[in-house]
Amino acid sequence: MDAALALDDVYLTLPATSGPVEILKGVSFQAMPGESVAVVGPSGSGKSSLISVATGIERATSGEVKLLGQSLTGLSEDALAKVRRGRVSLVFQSFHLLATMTAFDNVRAPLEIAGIRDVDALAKAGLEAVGLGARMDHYPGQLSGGERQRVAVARALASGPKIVFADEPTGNLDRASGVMVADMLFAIAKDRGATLVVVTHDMDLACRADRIVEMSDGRIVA
Amino acid sequence: MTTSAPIGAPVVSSSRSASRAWLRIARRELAGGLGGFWIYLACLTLGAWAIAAAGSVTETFSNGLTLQSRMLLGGDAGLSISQREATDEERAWMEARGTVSQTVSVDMMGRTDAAAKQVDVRGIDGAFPLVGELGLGEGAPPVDEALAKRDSVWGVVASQNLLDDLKVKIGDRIDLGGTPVDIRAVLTREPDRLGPPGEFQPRVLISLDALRETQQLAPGRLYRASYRMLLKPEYAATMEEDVKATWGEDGLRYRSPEDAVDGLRDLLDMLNTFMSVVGIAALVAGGVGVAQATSSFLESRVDSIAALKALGADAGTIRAAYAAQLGALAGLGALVGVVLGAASPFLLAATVGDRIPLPGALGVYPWPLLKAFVLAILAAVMFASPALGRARATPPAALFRRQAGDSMGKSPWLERWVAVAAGVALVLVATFGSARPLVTLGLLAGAGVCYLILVGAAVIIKRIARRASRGARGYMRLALANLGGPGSLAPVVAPALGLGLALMTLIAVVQTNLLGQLRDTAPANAPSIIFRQIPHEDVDAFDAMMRAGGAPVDDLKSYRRGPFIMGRVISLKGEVLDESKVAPEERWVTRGETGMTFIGPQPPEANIRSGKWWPADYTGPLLVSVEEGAAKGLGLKVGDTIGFRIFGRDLDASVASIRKVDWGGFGANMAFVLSPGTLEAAKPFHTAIVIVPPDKEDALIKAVADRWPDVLSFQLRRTLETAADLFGQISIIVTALAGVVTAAGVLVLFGAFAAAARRRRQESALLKVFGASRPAILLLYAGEFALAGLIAAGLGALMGIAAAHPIVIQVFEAKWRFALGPILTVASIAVISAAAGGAAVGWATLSHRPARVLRSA
Repeated sequence: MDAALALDDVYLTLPATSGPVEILKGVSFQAMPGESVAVVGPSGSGKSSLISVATGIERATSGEVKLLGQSLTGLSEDALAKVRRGRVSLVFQSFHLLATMTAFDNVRAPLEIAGIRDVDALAKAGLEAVGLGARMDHYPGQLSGGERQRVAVARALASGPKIVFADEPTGNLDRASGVMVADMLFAIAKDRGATLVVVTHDMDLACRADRIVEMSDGRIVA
Repeated sequence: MTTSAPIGAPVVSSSRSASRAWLRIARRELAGGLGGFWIYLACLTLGAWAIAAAGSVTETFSNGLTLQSRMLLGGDAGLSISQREATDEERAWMEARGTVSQTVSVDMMGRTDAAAKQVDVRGIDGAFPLVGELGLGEGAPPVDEALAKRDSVWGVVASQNLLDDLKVKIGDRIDLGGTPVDIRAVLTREPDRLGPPGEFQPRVLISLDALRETQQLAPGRLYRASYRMLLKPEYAATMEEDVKATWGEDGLRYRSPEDAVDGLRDLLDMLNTFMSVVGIAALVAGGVGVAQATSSFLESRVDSIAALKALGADAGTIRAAYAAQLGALAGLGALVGVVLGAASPFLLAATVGDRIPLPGALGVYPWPLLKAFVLAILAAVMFASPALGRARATPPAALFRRQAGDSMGKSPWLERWVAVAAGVALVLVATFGSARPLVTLGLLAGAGVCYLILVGAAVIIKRIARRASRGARGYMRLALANLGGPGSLAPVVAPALGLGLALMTLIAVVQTNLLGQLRDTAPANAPSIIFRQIPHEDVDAFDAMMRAGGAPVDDLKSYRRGPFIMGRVISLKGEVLDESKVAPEERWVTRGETGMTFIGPQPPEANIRSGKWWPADYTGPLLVSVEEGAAKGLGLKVGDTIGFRIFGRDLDASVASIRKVDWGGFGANMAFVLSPGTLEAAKPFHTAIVIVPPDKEDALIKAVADRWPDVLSFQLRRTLETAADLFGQISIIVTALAGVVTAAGVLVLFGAFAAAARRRRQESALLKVFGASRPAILLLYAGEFALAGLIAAGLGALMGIAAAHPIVIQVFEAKWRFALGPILTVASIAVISAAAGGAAVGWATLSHRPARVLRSA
């Protein structure tokens, strides 16, 4: 069976005022379909950059990234967008909801971009699945941090993606909200057969994954 | 001795040091640069510049006119009489008071074997001009030589356009009102007239003796005699009273140097009023930019403000710190505008000064500059205060619940009242600082209502967009959701751009209607030629000549001829006329003499509003039919009496009817039409109006001039063409002036684009993460901004049309035509510009890599 995600000897070097900084240093990593993987490690170890490179929103300096069986090497920005469309989702630590749109519209946006049918029904089901069926018309500014992240989870999973990346999804939440969001993320991902890659500091959260990968100084160490 | 606080102990600042904390905060923040404030500065600068420039330019020309007023009158005092020269007694009275020069103005036909043309003829005496010098072309002899009688032929000096029209040159002989004259020089300047001679109609200067000798000043001829005087000092102060006391209302009309420039000064004041209101409208439209820039700036400082408050800063310190920064920037913007405004008359003089016929007195005039500065500061206070209030009220908790658009709450009442007070002060300063307070107030009220409608419309648009987004699909839904959600463009774009577009539409529509009136409607109804001074005894021969020349003499829609008399209103309802009681817009019927006719049968165009027309064969006491507007202005109704002085006789007429005149229609369009009988014995000259094809005009004029050299023929079509061209030029200037408001709106739009480009980075990055392609994102933003532009353009166009309709119908009394072309042009430019701006925003957001945007957000 092909891996949902495969990184082979990936390097990422980014420019900085003090000179180029090597963020990823030869990372090789795989996640199989339906598998949940937690990536742990100290701050600055390259965990979030791993997600950026894996989703194609950052280009690897060298090495190869295969996402859902397709190599990302040499693809244009629009081609990369097409690879993600409807099949790859992200959940961010700081939510990144669209402030000008209601919760319902936030969930609908990626579905519409993917050209999926029954957008309204899917968005509604997504929000109900995270317990926000009654707050669909609220703007992000009118929601608590936990609620915002639940909207983000609904948005990530409503399209039935093949793979979900979550970058510190509970990092900005209190413990109770964090547990609730993690429960939903793992349950819905499992329910829909999606691969889940979670970057976290939280070992309790990491332990819920099928497998834990540890990073340090831009390398996978365990 | 120095002391230091132990580590860990609280350090309590002195009250003096605390009171200066706001200043230190303000200074440090300002030292960080003006990033994000260029829109704030530009909006205030633009508004202040427009107001200061309007005032400075007006002062420059107004003072120039005052300095030149004596020259423009031609002396210290002027007296004039119609259809006669001064009597010996009057002349002696004048000469006892100073040096006198006489001129006479009369219309005559200039003719050669090939062409004929109506000419403004000015007879001058040897003393003319008392002030300034005549300008004659190169190589011309002195004026007295040029006008002298030589070999039994009088000489004249003529404007260049007469030479061009009659295709003659200096030294050629032409026929002037039946008398041969030699053209001896080209007239280049008359000291008591503005602009080049003959701008509207060819001009000729001739000796007064020549006019007398050729019977042009005989009784019954239509001319005006003017006397200019250099007064002896002892008479200077009381001349006006002396004239009235000695000569009463008996024909001698007095003019002072001030009177000579009053009309021009009124025009300048009107222009200044319009420009000032344009400047204030620019400040209001730009005020949205000021408010937006202030909000954006303070939004970016929410963390600092919350942190300062958490550390113990009180609301007063926060308010003072940011008010000081905003105040300093407002002062800078207003100052730059004022400096540019002060320099504007100099720039104008240096660039197009030689094309402006008005005398200017270049200088720095402090009052309009001060007014502009104060208005700009008040606008800044009005628009920045609410945002300042929101910042001042920011709770320290904002540090912990930041989300775009929700970090600042509502503005406290204090700042809202400060904004209202600044708005009221702005209106008061603008109104009472204007030469025409009521007009200014009216225009400001109009602009204010438009602004409020646009703000209200923006709220409604947001709601509609929000609802519509639910039913829409794909990127259209995203665009509508953005337009309907927090941070929507509608509240910024609609008032800022809508106000300018409303003004542009208003001007474009009025301009198109009036140009259409001058180019199409008027020429279709107006006479091709007006013939005047047709001898009473030759009217049948004249009609026969018209018929022979192809004029449809029997068609009342194409030919009319009737007696024409000049008369002056001297009393109303038995009371001596008091001009101050006449409505200003109708004083043209009482100022000097006005043209009248007498007709038996009711003409087809007489639209009687009250009373009734006299029987066709009426011969009883004198009756008059008064035009509706004149009747209202004079306070007359059917049955009232009105006194006229006609041919030196005082006559009372009873108002028989009030009628509406279609001034653009064909017919006897005069304020007063008298009944027949009473005046017939005077055998007055007749006037004829005729519509003929353009190719027959010149031949008809030539034939009439050959047979009756004294009959004047005036080609209206050419005048309408000249007027249309002149109006076209004026409207370009007016449109350019109104463009200042649109420029302010565009500046605000740029500000909105810049702010949007910052705010939309995250959105764009997320859309890319969701799989949106670059063209789709560009299309999304172009569509959203185009939608906002379309709404602003639609609202602006509607308001512009609503304001233009009464102006066209009631003020200009023209026929309304829906000017779709200009409206669509203005709207299209707005929509395309907005779409291009949206695409630029999209492009700017796409230049950032999503991973970095999302990480730093």
